[in-house]
Amino acid sequence: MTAQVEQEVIRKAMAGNTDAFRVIVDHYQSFAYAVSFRFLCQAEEAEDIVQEAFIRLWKNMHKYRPEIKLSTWLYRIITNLCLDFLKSTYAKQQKNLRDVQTEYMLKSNDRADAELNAKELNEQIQHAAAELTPKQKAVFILRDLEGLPVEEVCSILSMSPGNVKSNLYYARQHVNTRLKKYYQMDKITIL
Amino acid sequence: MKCKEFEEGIYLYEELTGSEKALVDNHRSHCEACNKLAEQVIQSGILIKRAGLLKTEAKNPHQLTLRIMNSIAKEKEVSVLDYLASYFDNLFIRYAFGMASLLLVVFFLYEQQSIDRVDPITKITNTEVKPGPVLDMNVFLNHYRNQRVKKDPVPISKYAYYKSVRSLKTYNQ
Repeated sequence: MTAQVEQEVIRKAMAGNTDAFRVIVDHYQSFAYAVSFRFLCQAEEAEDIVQEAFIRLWKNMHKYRPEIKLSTWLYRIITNLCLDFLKSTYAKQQKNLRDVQTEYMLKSNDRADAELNAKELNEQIQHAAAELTPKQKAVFILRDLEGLPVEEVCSILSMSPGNVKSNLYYARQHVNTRLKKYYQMDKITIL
Repeated sequence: MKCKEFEEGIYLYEELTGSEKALVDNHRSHCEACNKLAEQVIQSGILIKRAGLLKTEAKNPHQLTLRIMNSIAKEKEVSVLDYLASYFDNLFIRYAFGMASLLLVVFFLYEQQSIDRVDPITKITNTEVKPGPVLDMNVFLNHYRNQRVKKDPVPISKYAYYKSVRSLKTYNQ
């Protein structure tokens, strides 16, 4: 979808046209799901968050300002919903994580020499990210996994650049330690 | 500067400015430990970026779109109450109503205070009767009372007369 077509579709959706909004849903759905799945690592919860995010987008469509990218706005809605969810389940999640960790460690030791494939790597990173605090996780996902610039991360999370960098530092440190723990960094061959 | 101070710079290398990067590079060139850490961070950074390229997709994207559109259709059927309530989203209106309620409460309390302050006895004695229409029931009733006095007694009916005469006879007998 080109920028011009997107603006036209957005304009129609702002006027209450559900067909135009369906085009937006079709276009951004996979992106929205991918982001929420990175946060929650649960398919059903991620789908619920995507649904809620699009409902919120629809409700607030009239407040849309063209100077902000729709994707940035959607990022903000999804991130806020995911953060709320993570904050409410953080303590519970940490308890479950300790049980899963031992399982992961056993598996990892068994496959110490196994080839590192992308899916496995993704699982390891997701697992490392799950141990971060909700804010650190949000910064890590948006900056490192989604590859957004620091300014956009600041805007999405309503945080100062210093705060974002501080959270990013702790997140990277933790993920790096985790990756080093599971895989011998010297032996990794980057495919 | 100590290695610990460069650690943050190593982890946040991509976010540093040119001069800050030069400082970190300079330190790395003569510190083996920091150089090793930086290489590890770069390697894990590449792995993280590679993981970032993997996008998870919903099991059934079409079904998810349908679900979203159905819930939006339901949302569209907004009740009148919700429509009216939407006006209260405006902060100015909310504060205006809040202020008005507060003023009403203050006014009510002030009125209550001023009533309680007056002594009921002095209130009665000091009450001045203001000229105005007064409803006196006697004015209304006297007319009927006079009529009742002037009125002739109702003549006794024949039946009542004969009945009384007969009962008198029976009594005498």
